[in-house]
Amino acid sequence: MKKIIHFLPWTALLLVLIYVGYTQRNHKIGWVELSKVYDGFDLRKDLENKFIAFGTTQKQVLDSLELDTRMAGRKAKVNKAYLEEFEYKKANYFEQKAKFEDQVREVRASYDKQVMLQLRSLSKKFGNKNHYVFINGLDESGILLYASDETNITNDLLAFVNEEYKGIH
Amino acid sequence: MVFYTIVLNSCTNASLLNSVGIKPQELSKSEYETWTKSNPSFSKEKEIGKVVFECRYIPAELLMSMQTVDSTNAKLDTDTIHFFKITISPFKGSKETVYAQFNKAGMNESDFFNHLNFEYGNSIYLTNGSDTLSCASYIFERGYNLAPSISLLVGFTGACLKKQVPKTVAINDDLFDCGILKFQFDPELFRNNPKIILE
Repeated sequence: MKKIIHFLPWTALLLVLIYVGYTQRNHKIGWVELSKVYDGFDLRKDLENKFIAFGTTQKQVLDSLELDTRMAGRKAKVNKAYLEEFEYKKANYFEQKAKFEDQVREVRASYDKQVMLQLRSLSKKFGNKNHYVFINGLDESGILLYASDETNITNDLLAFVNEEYKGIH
Repeated sequence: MVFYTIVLNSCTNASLLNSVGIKPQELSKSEYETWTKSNPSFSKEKEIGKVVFECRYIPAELLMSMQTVDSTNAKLDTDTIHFFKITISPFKGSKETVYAQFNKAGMNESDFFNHLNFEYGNSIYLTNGSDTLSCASYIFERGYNLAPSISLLVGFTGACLKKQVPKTVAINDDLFDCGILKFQFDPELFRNNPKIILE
């Protein structure tokens, strides 16, 4: 009986420590530099390359239309009979240019949306896996005014999302 | 060595072999199915937004055994042909069909399924080292909104697939606006797979 009484405080202390450890583990908080995660995410880099390729193709089409319109303009200056053709080509060029600018905006918005969607999903997975209660995002809006460097998990999250994006696991 | 051979030949429990990381030499069709399903490295999964993408490697050997043709006389170089089953399902816990999760503006149900039937295959490719292969075969399994998920069977072929490099199935998803999704498979998965004993 004496032995049991002797061990009782130690057992209680051990239980308290386990409880504290458990609650600490379940109340992890972290913050990330949003711009660093966004810029370093491999999907964003892949989509950026796709966007550049798309823009280059569109620009080549637009450049040749512009050249054609300029040539028609020169011809119209010399001979008024070509004026109608020039007006048609000019209108077509501006129409295509406006269409191209709309397309560029749409593609850019779509790619941004895709990057954010995957980032959110992968951050959720990272949070669940590493028992985070919440992960704050530091950006220019100033919602997060201060956070200690120990809770900065930018590099961990970035490594995780890039590994997940590669589809290794 | 003798013991190893005896174990391989006598052991019919595919899951047990998986658990110890041994590839069996020969299996019956049902055992083969169990073996592929119980091996976690055959399948990769990603949950993006409201949609879950699963990519499962289907050995050509197994696919052939499912065919009604006489497969005993058919010759297939299983090193140069690989099949994957891509399943697109609504997020876990959802009771809706995948079409209900579909949020692309301006596309109705028939356009959605037409896109899956005829265009979606163009956005799936396999990278094998420095080679990028387009789908050699693409089958969309239509569930007529009875099943919550959508299944696609894609096949890739080429001599370059013999190279022992990681193989990545990439989906350039423009339908659910999820972006590029990659599923990387270990080259070991494609090597020395068992043969099916025809019943």
